[in-house]
Amino acid sequence: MSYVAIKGGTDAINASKRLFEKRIQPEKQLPEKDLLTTLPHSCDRIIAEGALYSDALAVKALLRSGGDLLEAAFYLRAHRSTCRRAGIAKEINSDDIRITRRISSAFKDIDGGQILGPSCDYIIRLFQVQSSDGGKISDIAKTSVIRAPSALNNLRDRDMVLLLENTEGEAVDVSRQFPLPPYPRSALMQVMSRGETGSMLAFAYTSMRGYGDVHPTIGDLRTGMAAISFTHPFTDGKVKIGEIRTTFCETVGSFQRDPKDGKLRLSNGFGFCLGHNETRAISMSILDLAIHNQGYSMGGADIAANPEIIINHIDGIESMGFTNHFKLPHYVTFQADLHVLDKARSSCSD
Amino acid sequence: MNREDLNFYLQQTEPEQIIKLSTKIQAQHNVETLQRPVAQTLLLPVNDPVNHGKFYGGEILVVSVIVRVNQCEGWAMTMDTEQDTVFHMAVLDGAWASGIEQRAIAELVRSGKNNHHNRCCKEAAEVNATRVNFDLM
Repeated sequence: MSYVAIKGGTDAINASKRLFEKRIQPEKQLPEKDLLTTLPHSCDRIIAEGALYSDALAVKALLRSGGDLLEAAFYLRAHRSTCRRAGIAKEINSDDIRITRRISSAFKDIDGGQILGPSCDYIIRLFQVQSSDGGKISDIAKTSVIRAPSALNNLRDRDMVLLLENTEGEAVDVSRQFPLPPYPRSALMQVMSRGETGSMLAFAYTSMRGYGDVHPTIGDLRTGMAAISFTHPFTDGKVKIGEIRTTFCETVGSFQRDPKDGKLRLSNGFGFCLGHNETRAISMSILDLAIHNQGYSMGGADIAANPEIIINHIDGIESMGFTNHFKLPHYVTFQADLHVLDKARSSCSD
Repeated sequence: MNREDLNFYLQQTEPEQIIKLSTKIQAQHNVETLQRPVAQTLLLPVNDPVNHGKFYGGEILVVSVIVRVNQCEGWAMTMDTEQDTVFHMAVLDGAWASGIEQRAIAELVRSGKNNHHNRCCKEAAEVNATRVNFDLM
């Protein structure tokens, strides 16, 4: 921080930190365990954008940042970089999760049913008092956990869905090595799964509105608990470590000619995020559709279909860092700019 | 019941019960810590239905411990930042491998399994109540 080198800079910084603490009033903050239950969507967004699943740290970050979600995600991303990696968990699959919500806009009757789950979709956004109908849940003992295959599996069984060619031997991990273009699909998907929700929504929206042609149907949107498993180091057996909240979305786009055999099949996109965030998962699946399928655009400006644009511009931590770096003193460089301007003006007047 | 069941189902019991049994084992047997509770991450691969491949969807914060109980190694891993119970879980894992207190450990695991089952049933009942019944339309 350049202010440190200036006389009195350290004192000013310390005073600024004290003033910030005074502003967010940590002594009046809600207990951490209550925050997770009362603001679960804030915590989930921090977890997803921080790319580190930790309820405890998400809550801490939310408190320390005074509710700034992007700043809070920064805390998690920074903490992640200080931890040693124990290994790779067992692969999770949307078919295996314990469903808490699952809807399809493509089919009415789907295996496993349409389950609305906990959602604010059906609440009127007005500040009037909305009382619960007080309905009681009965037959708890007779109720079994819901797991269901994707609603698109039926179409896949009928060979109606495009299957993109998988040319990657191993998935890329962008947190260790960022690939060069052409970007592997796994790299794009990883970047999108930890991208900033607003950025992804905005880019997806450009395609929906006309600077692209993705206007998908939601085949299967689900939230639920996914089991996290690892290998026991002394038995080599599969051990369940815990469960995490997840969101999966499969969307169906228009039909395309399959390059493998020339047949027409439906394109499909996939979205995933840690925590519950449907808007984000839908946006990711739209971007996936736009990037990996041939589309049409107004004036050839389909920015959502450009992998270069998407992979380099949706990370919230990176874009926030770059934006906020402009607040750092640029005294010398700006003086140089002024000097150049002076020179240019005097040359023009000559 | 398998040794692999211990890690998840012990987390579903009251931590006090785990600590009590672990303390008893530590008092009667030789327990050595090989790796103290340490925060680590697990990379999470996600199945990609669009190309039957996979990608990494993020990382999970975990804490793991390794102990030795009477020449048998015990291990435990929990999610998030909790570092107290995980040590005692590793002691129980090591004890199970050494053949110590297996009946008491199995009882704890059974209780954890029941707790988890009951929680899942309660959640399922609430979720199932939101199922759309198209027959009524």
